[in-house]
Amino acid sequence: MSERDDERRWAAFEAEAMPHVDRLFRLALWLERDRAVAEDLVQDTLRQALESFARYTPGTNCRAWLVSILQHLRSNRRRAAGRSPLVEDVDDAAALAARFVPPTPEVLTDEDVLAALKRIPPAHQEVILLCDVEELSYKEIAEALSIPVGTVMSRLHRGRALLRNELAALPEKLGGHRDAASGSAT
Amino acid sequence: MTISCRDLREMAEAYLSGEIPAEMREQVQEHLAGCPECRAEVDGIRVLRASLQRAFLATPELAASTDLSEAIRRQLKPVAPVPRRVAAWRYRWLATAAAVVVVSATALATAMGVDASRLVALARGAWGDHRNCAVAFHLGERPISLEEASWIFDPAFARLQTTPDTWIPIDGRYALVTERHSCVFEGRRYAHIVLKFRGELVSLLIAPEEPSRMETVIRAVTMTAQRVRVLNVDGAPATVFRVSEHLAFVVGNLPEEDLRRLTEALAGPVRLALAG
Repeated sequence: MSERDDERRWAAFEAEAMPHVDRLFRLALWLERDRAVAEDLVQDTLRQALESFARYTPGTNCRAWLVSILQHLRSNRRRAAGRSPLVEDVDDAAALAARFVPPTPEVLTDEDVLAALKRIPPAHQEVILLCDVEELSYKEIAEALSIPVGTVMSRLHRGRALLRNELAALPEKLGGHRDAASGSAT
Repeated sequence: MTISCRDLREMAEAYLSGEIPAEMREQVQEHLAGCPECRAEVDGIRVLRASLQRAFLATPELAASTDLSEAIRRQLKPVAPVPRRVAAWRYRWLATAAAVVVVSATALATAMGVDASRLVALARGAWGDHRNCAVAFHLGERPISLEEASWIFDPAFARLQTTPDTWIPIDGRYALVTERHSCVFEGRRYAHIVLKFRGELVSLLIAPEEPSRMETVIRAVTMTAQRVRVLNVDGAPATVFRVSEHLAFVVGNLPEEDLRRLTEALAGPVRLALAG
């Protein structure tokens, strides 16, 4: 590839992919819970994306494409570290846990929503984040996580039910004693 | 065919995600129109989804450091050797170098009145930002990326993410861009590009400025100056040039001739990028 091709490729990459760095980092940090690991993961994602940029079709959902690369890198790293993928038998367990689905509370603070999300199984968190925050289609989520579309749908449905259970169970929803619990938070 | 409440709740997620066929979508909408309970259910999910997105994207704990994008750029952006066109810009710039204003601050202020005083005050501000931000890092406000600043404050800053080039050839030597960000000094927001040239840190600081305000000063000086001249700001050297609806200052402790040549090398590409 000539220098001019490199420059052109970089210019296109800069315009299409680089604007998504912050959102990718948020997702990576949420999933990895470690800032240094998340930064490393996002850097690797962008490096991989630049190398494969010829395979990206301009005008399609670049964020979905980047998320897919990020998830594949995570999956490879987990495998290399000898950890099992986030599949578990969450779907059955979640189905049992979510028989009763309380209504969504009328007032939701950012802290409430994130605290509740943190308490549901990671595999459900992933699908909910990719759907609600990253706005990926079911097909894009299925490709990113290497799972069937049907599993995406069931995890979303059950994850949402679990999320509502957790929201209903947060202390402030029952007694409204957030101030006492959080001390000086304003 | 009508759908039951149970069916509707099963497909509420897919409905809100736009993942069901059009004819089924119509049936869902029909059902929702006549069923307040299911409507409340769907609205609840909709609120939850929106709340989650808002919370996730707004929480500062999850924000990337302002350096991350720049670090990735430094790592991935191909470092181009001197392209011929850069040299061409330089010659083109030299032809119009008279547009660059550089004069004694005091003489200019006396000759041109209020507008010139403002120019001098701005040059002092540029020096202040250079001292505080580039040299000492005494920052009143954390710098943000040029990209972020372009969304919030000035779209033109986005073009300075790649202009000037990282390596700038100047008479057989190179100036190296070591940092690009947007920062604030005394309430004025700059695109701040830090360069290293001949061992000295130099700042290119670009801030929006209405064209009309500086027009008289620039035109007057252009008529007499044949090349970039160096403005003396309280004993410290600075150059300034107008570019689109911005003023650009180059400040740093360089010998006058070096500052002049660096300004000549920067002005062409920057003017082109910001005019685009």
